[in-house]
Amino acid sequence: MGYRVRQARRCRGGATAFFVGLVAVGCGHAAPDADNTSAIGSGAGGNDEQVGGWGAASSRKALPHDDQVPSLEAASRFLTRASFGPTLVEIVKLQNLGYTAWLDEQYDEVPSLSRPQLSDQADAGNPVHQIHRQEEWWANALEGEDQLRQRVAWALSQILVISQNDADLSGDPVGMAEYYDILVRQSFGNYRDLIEAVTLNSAMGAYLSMLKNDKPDLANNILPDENFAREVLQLFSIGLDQLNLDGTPILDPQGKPIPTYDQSVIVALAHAFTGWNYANGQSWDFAKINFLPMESWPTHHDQSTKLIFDGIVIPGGMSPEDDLAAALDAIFYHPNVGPFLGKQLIQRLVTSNPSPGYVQRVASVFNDNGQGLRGDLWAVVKAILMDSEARGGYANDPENFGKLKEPIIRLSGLLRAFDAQVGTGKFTLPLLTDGYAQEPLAATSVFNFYSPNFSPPGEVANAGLVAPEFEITTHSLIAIIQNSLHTRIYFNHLDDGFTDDNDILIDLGPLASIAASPGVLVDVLGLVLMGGQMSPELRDIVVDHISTLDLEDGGFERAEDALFLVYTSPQAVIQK
Amino acid sequence: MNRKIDRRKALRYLAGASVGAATLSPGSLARASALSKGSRLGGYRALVCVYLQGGNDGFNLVVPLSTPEYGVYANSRQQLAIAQDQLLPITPATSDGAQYGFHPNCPELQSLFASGDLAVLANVGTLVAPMTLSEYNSGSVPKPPRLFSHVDQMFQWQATAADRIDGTGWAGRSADALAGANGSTDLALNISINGPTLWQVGQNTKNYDLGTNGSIALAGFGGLDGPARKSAFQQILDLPHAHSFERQYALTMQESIDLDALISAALAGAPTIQAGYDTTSSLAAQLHMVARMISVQATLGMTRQIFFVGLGGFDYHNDQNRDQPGLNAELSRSLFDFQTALAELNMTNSVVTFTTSDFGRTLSSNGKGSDHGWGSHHVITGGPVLGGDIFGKMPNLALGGPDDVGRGRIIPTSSVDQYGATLASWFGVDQTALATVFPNLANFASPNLGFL
Repeated sequence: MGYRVRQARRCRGGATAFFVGLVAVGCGHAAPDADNTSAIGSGAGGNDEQVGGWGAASSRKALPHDDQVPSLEAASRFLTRASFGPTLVEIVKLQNLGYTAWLDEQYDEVPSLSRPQLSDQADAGNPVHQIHRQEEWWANALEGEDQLRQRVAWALSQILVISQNDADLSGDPVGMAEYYDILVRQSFGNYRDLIEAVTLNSAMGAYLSMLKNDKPDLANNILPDENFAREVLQLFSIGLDQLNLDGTPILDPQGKPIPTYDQSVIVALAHAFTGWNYANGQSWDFAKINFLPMESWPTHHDQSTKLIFDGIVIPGGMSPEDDLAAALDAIFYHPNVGPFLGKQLIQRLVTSNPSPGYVQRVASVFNDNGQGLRGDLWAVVKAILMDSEARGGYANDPENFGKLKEPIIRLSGLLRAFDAQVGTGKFTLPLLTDGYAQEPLAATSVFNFYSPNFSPPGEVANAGLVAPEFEITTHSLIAIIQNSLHTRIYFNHLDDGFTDDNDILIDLGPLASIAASPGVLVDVLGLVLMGGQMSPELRDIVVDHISTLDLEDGGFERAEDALFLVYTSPQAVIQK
Repeated sequence: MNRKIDRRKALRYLAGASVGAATLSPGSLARASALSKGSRLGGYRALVCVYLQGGNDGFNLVVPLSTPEYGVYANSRQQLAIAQDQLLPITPATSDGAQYGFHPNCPELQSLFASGDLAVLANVGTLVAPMTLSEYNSGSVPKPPRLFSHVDQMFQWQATAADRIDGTGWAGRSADALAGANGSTDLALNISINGPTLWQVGQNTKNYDLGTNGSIALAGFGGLDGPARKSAFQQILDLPHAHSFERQYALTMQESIDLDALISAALAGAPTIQAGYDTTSSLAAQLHMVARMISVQATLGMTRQIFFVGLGGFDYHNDQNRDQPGLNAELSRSLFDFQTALAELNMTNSVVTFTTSDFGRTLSSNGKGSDHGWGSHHVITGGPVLGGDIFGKMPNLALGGPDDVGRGRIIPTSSVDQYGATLASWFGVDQTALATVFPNLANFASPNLGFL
């Protein structure tokens, strides 16, 4: 398989594409004097199999099998889960292709990477910093054709965490980019291969200190480093408690969860993971930093017998490679991996509180993709996105199904929906500096930006639900992110006039062009940004408000206010 | 000398609290109880928790200095040991026979200790009940669940009662117990400047998250067009939201707006704090924000406040000898500068600041650093603290010794329950409520460790 090295920025074509989308959904010819009632479909989101009003207005070419034909609203919701944000063009494309063909196309898209570009810069003698890694990340997230792959990699990066917020990694953007590229390349591969690549990546090695983890030196009271051994179990694979296939804990007769391992297992695995260092090192102590997979040093490997969980024994006398393979095999075949990983991927893509049945269906696919293969992540991703709960969950549980959009997804959704461009070609978005509490590969610790178990005190916690993203939606952060989006909407768009080549600019021209029809304008926003789930009350407030604004500026004031009010509404912030 | 100062200081403090027949013996329940009752009617009090994220290596913060004890320490720690001649000596009011010193990068802690404004709590950690090594090995006394796991041990530190965590923390439950202490203000008793923390979650009281630079006003509602836009925004916020997450989001947004109005107005009238602080330090900046909030407590109508701040980087698996000096220096300077700011605000005797973490670290090295341990030393500072002394019991630091469960993971000799209860008592949680706030407190012989 080849990998795409991103080419120079494509030329501006967003506005045209947006108009094509408008035509396709039946409002390309909205007359300036059209009234404020919706020209298109009902707003309420229901079961995704129902073809709504927008769908009827669309111009599908080939109709795939019925249950594969999403309504426009359903297509938008699907893309909210499966990409860095729906665009009108992609919504229409998904409807025309149907889910299966769209997914197949995504599978075949060439992965967009970032490390090769950084290496080129470094080879040319240019400085390479974390912000450059992030520029590549944003370019791929916003413009990569492999949207699903990028979105799944982003989800995986929040489970298999490394962070630039670490003394050993802050100066290694190239190694970190290689780490992310592993997630991108293997997000549709097999988990067994992924966990091995992750384990041997040098940035992960430095982050969880398996790199230069030496065999015991009892004379100096030195015993192997337990960091990676602990977190690979606790966070990357099986978790702390034995799980049923549906993700609920197995309980002992006293009703308590049963630990998956104890401290002796951590100690044993720490021994198994000894003897790895940067590739091509001339000596153990002075091996030089690079992005290649770590290489083994048999003389620094502990050869004792290791007793790990479930009575599994890693025999003594084996090489670093054989110990590693035995340990990762044991982890891979642990029955927890499917429900543990599956549930978190569901949380990252679809909903914070999946039902046990949903988790079980996904975990079953992890255990067997239907062809006897365990760990097939492509099958898992499809199972997550195509599950009846993903597509019909909101209709069945309108009060609790879904998730809070994380800050990066709120920002990327805006930038993608309105075809953000930047004169320099560099999407420089120093979000931590802006106060966001989220940046690609920049969590506070290996525990990610938020815990999968976080529950905001109050109604949500009292209902026994979790809402992880609320952990970074505090009283201060909620205002910071709202203000950041405000700046982007009002001051960082193409027709603002006070911008320069460094500014990332969204294009509000298409919205302004339909501003004479407030109802149509708001319905377009409801479709693209809210999966067609805008309540009639919200629609009325926004339509009434922008109707009071005149059109002397070509409709931009209406476009800005409508976009701001819709996108910062509680309804739009919750993905459903 | 220090002992005298300490005694005088203690007497002064006790007299100030209108306690007649107080004894000076640490851990005196009677005294703590009397103080608590006095405080309920008394003036402003604040607790400030400094959370050292990742599991701080307290055994390198306070180190045995006298030769036999240092020898045991150095033998266990090997390359992680601090050189004996670099330790900053302290003279505790109560001697256990050994001498101790602070990490060489902590002269400010040494100074606060000497002036009687800082106490050391030895070897505190999570416990269900006191336990010995043989009880640990036999399982006859229940262990805290999920020992050595970051997030679980952090939760147990913050919740206490390690075996029955229920989604609340002891600061939150203390706020429950003191409901009404701050009158009818909308501002929560519990404020975090380091994101949400289980510690501050109560059953019935809310908490508030403040930015390091203060509260944040929403943009876009000024100018000619602002009011109409704001009105539409507010109408949307006020809609009856169908989804529980929408309601949670709208509530947080509304609180953010309302409390920003309250706090920014109060801070506009705050005195400028002259005391300097390291503006490059996240911890120092957070503590500076706490000082600013304390400076306007009267304006805000606050009688009792609990603040949470934090600093990351203490998970020293790798390069401990490179990273520890800087972080210890940052901690030491930040605590000292905060005390200086409080003195300037005349709040020295109203605020108690204390450190917490996930756990201590292994005494033994992994060749580069240390791994997840258990018990660890912590410090408490402020005017009310019976400073210049070490409280609790110093552990045996020998590998394979009577306190080591393996690799130098040391069984705590005081529990986080006792640590919290001592602080909460001073804060004003009365004897009856204490049993609710700290459900396992009765498992331990002394409910008060005596440093306040």
